[in-house]
Amino acid sequence: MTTQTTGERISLPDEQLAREARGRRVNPGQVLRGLAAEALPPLAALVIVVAAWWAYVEIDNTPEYFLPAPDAVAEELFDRPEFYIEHAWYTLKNALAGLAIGGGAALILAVAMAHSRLIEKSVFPIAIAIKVTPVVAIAPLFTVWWGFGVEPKIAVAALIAWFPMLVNGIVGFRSVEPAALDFMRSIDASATQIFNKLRLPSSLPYLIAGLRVALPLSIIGAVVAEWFGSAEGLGRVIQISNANLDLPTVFAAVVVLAIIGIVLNLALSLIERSVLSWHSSNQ
Amino acid sequence: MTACSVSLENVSHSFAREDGSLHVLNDVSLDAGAGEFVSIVGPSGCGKSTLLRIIGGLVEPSAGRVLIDGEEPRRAQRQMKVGYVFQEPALLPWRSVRQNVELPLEVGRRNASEPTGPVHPFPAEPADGAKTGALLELVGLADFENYPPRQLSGGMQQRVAIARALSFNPPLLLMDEPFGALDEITREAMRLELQRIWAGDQKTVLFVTHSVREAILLSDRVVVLSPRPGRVVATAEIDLPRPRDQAVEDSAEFLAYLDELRGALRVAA
Repeated sequence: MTTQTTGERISLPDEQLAREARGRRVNPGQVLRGLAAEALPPLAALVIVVAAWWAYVEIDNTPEYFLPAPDAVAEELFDRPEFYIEHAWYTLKNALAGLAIGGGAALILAVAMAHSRLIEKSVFPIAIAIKVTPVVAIAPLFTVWWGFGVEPKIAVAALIAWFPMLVNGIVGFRSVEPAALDFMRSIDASATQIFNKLRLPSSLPYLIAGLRVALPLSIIGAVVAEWFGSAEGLGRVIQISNANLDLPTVFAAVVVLAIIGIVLNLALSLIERSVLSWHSSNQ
Repeated sequence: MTACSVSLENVSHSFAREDGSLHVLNDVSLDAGAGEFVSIVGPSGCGKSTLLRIIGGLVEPSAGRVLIDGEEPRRAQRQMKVGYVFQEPALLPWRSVRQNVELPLEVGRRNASEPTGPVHPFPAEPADGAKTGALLELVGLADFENYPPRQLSGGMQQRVAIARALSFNPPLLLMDEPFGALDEITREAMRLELQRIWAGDQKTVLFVTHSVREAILLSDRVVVLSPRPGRVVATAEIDLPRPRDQAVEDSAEFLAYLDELRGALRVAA
């Protein structure tokens, strides 16, 4: 066949590309060095902050009920870790439950709003109204309705987490490459197929961006709700120890909350990297 | 599947706009016989892409009708008779080359046996392994089946799009400036490849382009549209030996066709 020669000509760059891609092997030493390069700058910054804090307390001779030294906070933490783990678990559990409920409701609503401008027009003002109402103003109400159990905490976390998921969901489900949508329609794909195979995967970068905002917010919501009546949780721990001027405990609880936030954020980064390996932000 | 015929009867189209309607196609009638390669050329904005979208069932014409083997485009679409290649590859970036090529088969299975309802967006199992392999071989991408699209060049991505359109062996292939975004060298190679594929199993091809040279090189027949609103101003049967490569472009016959069709475009403008 006369086309044989042309077939060879055009396949040449392809083979080169294939060889290059195969040559990209993962080197464990490189990975470790990469991790160290990632972790070192923030760790160094943390050490500097803690050292400055410590130096200030030592030089100024600040009383512990005003600003405890880092070692006092560490001592308090390691003295009764099970106490902090128990309360952290209570707060975290409520925050995640709230995120799941609020985020889930937001996504269902986002699907409906992305499909119909009418639904968007009628529901969005209500969504804005809920969003702009300070959650601290509503939280006491939930305590009146549901008492001192987990319900008001989950409700506050859900209420605060749902808006970023809603906004990102609407944009995400709409942000579909028009040509890809045309192709799906040209092969007579149903609305369900277009959603599952095109809209949902296209929206993942937006949904994960939404989670990045909603996740810390849900923890804030759970902690704030504990302020208005609770027997457990880090928010409750902070409230009581603050009243007792037991600042090492306040600081220890704050440190635990910070650690929870950092760990959840890291977990989200890992999920993002594996689920969105195809996305341009991960290249 | 054998090739199928396409017939357009007095197709006109206007887009509704805020400042009145935009008349893009004016009474276009044309026929493509089974197995024929027909190109539609015209200046940009003359409605040639819209014409192809009407034939593909993506747009309802304002007037007139399109018949694919005597049936409405939407019906032909449902019977998986129409393979569409767009100017951009429009591949799904989260799917490998193979999964992209198999997408139409997954979608089409719904009509056969697959229960409707949520489907996992990242299917692990391919539809028909051997067939996909042969298709990728055909477009010269056999070694790249597990690659994500972003690691391929523009020309390779467009070849994946062609393999995807061929995956369900449609008797009709609609191509909307498929090589428009490619560099000259890749475009030459793709033109030859397309002729090879077309020669392999005589599909009916409707090919939209703004390049008169490309149209003559590929087609049995070239249809020239006027500027907006597009109407057919000239038709030329291209009687040149196949396969046609760059050497043909220097022949006196080729240049005569080029002269004729460019003249028709000029008169229309």
